[in-house]
Amino acid sequence: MEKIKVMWFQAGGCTGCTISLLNSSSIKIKNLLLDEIVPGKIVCLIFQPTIMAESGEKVIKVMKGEEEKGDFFLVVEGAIPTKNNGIYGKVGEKTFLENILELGEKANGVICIGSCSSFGGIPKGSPNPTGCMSVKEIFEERNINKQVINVPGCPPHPDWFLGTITKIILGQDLKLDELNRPIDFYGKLIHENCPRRPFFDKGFFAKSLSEEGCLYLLGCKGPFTYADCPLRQWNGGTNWCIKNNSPCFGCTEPEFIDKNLPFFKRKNLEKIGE
Amino acid sequence: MKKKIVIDPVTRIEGHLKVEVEIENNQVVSARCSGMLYRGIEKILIGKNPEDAVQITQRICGVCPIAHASASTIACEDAFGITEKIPQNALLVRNLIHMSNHIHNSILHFYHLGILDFVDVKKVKKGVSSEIDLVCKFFERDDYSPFGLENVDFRLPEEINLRCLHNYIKALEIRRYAHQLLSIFGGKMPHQCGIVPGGVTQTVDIGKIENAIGKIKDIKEFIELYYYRDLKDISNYYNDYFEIGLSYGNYLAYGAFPIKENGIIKKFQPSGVIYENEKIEELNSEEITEHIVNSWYEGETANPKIDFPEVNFEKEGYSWIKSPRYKGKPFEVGPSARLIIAYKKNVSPWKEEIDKILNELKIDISKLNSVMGRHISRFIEAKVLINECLNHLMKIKPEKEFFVEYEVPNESIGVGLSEGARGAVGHWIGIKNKKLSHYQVISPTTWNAGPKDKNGNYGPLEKALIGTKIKNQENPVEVLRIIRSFDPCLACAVQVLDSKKLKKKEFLIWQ
Ligand code: SF4
Ligand code: SF4
Repeated sequence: MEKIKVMWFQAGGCTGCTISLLNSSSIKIKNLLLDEIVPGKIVCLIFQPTIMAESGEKVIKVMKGEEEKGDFFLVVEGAIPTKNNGIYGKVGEKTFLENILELGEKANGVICIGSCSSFGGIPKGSPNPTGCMSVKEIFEERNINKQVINVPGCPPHPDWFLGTITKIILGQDLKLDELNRPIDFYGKLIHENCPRRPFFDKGFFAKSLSEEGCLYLLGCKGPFTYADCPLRQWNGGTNWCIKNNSPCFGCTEPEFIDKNLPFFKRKNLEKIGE
Repeated sequence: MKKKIVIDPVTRIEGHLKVEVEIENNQVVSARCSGMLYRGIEKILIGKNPEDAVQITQRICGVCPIAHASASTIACEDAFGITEKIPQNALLVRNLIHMSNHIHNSILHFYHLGILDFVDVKKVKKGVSSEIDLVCKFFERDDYSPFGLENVDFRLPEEINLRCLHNYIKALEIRRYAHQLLSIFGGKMPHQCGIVPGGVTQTVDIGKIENAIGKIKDIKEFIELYYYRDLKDISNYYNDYFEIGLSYGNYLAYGAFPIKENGIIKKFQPSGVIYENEKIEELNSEEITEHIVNSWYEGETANPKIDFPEVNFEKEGYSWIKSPRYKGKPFEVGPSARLIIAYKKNVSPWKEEIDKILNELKIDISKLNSVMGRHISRFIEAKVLINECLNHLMKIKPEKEFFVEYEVPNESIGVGLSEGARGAVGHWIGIKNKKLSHYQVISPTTWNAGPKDKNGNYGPLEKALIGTKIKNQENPVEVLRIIRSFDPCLACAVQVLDSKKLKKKEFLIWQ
């Protein structure tokens, strides 16, 4: 039995990524936590603060012990505050920043779950009060050469994360785009697969949330957002943003949030593709 | 000699929490709680469009984003002057979204955050159920596990212990259904996109109603059969926890789930204030202030309507959490507070449902103020709300409107009061030139886990810890059980930590 050890570090986030993962309905969360997800290989979550039983020093010891041994994947949830040496976020008497640098150094690779660790997300929104940065930015600034895979989304769909992990475990070639996102999930624009696309093509636009039509004039970021929400849908295929008549906020892009605001209006009529 | 125990991080809660308690003669004599994360979300909101705050403030907390979506929406509508115009359909759909979030939280909290304090996962055996076999295999592999506490006074007989464990795994699935129920109306979860100022984005057709009924039935069955039995047994074997973790007996609730009855907006769950288990009065939000004498912000007190306290690193104090006070006094918020208020106000169906459970458990209403009482309150809420979801569904009139148009005023102020699973959530906003010029959030965890106030009163969680007898100082499980009974949400409490401010530790054990 091959064990793939995963250390899940929570930095400056809202725990939404963890909760989203609990919603997984393809590979069920019980299988991820307790079972082999592909024959002969199991994911072993050695540290996950929201669900692990122990608290305090015991869990910090585990984290440090496994760090010593190496051979683990680091999953980061949340942005990393860096202003004033990162004092805005601490765990076990160390700042998130110190923890990420130490763990990152030893890890086989880093998976950033969610837009906060991938790009900075909401905490990085202007004026970025705590100087939040993404893991990739922090590594680049310090010349740390480590493979970083970004699985953005606010939160990401559980399949995006579990699919990425499964590909790694199966040893399949994981192709990434220039923002380090797996193209299996982030390869196409929302706009390309959107069921309201015929409306868009015909110029049939909703001007209020009570009207039917394409949501472009109501601020939809689908034409600039790479994700497979229209095909995959959310919460076990129950629904998704545009099906719920809400514009896409572009939650998988680095522009989330500053450049993607306002969410419900078109600033000016950008030309698609520019 | 006093001993200091520091627990950092406290796990199985939302966010980053550190707790220090001082123990003398096996009893907690002082306590302080510190949050470990500050993100400054309120600052990020300034200059943004008011309706975008509904999306942004959801990201304060991924466990109960709906409470913030709801408070933010209500604050916007107050500022826009459209509160009375929101269509009944929109109120119903929003409540369905909000109720499913509370239900999800009750299940998540009891089974996935709380139960491992009472159930011994290591006592498993094969052949009971496929779920438990998974756990057995898991231990056989000898992985380091996120499960399994050691040296704890576990008391459940084998059969009940196994059943609770089985249901821990079953509950993973049921909690997911609660999110699916939510996303039928909210688009996706976490961070729904259905609730907007003016109403909801989507109408509801028969397909959605049918889908929702199916989900409600599954969740209801689990709550009424499994959740209830597990809770009842745990409260029986750990009945001393009805006497542990008592706070002041001061309760406050903003109330939630507004619906129109004969044209008047009424909340399905009432607001109110109770002093020292007795005196009850109506809530007046003007009486809320934040005490910051012991928090690292400029000043002594702040009015959420107008003040935006700046961080001050130099000030004496011991926490970054602000301490909200009502008429200058500390109040517990959350499920027990809401239920006790509804009970004393004789509000139906709460009163009847609470009486039923209290009779079955042979306890009286005052026992809801305890570790076990808070778990019971969360259950009662889940049970009442899942039934109310069905009633709400039946009231939707698909042919009527779900959204009203509005103008954002040039200048205005607004207050949005609502309830998160963990208690009262308030948003105070100001608008200038159609943009947000002011934003203050008072979240439930600040009410419960704030530091000492101007008058030297401890916060309710600190109060609940003080006086607790600790059996085994190497493993103060009582402290953890008390903290988790409050279901603290630290991302909500938006604080910063500065460890250099903490006194030198005389003695340090980690748990
Ligand atoms: S603009 Fe948005 S709603 Fe319109 S077709 Fe593109 S993705 Fe769909
Ligand atoms: S549709 Fe857009 S906003 Fe919604 S989840 Fe997908 S990428 Fe995020």
